[in-house]
Amino acid sequence: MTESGRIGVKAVSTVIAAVIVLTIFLGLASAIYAGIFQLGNESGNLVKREAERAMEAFFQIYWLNETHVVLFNNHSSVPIKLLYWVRVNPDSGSYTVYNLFNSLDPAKYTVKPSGMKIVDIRTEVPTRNRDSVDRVVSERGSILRGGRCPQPAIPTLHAG
Amino acid sequence: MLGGLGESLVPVEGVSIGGKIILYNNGLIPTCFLELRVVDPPYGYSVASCSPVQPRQIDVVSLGATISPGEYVVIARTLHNKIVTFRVVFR
Repeated sequence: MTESGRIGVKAVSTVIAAVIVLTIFLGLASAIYAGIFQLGNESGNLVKREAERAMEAFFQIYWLNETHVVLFNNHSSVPIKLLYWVRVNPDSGSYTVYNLFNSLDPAKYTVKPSGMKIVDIRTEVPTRNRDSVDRVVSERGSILRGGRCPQPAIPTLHAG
Repeated sequence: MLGGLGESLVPVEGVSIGGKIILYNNGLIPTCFLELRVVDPPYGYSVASCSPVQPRQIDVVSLGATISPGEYVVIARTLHNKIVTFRVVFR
């Protein structure tokens, strides 16, 4: 091979090596960028979820009678989905977790903003026990109390 | 790092008998408590039986002994080494 031929081969192999190095570099850079983007996205989703969870604090659940509960979502701008109903018996130390998402109607325990529902809870949770303490867990992790109907802020005045 | 971001165990309720705390995994990854310390009022330290709770699932962790009813402050360490402090009412 002539001197010029040798130089030509060397130049081609240098170009090929440069292309390989560049490809590896671009691959690494894009993987790192994708990782950072995904992490940022995940972090944003968690902050959004936490803000929505804070809005669930005003959600109310209370027994209307022995079989029906009121789900009242009048003070938030997010729909609320209830997942679990937890009943504790303080006397025995036993607890029972009832799955609300096993309901035949998947939307039964989801309440839209400014919405109110009266649901017959008997198919998912046994009827109210006067001594039991009930907690309800929403999909976003709010822990709500399933209790008695709230009292009015201003006491009712009776004439006479 | 994702473990730190996506780890969130929420106490649902405390059960006085047996010192149980019912937990909900509100995070993105399975996790559980490795150890718990009841700090206010001071009660004790417990190494929990850590069996990871799946996201959106409920499980229970036990302090190992009955705790008097009332509100307590608990410090706990998770499976992914996150230290959390929370209040729980034992009934």
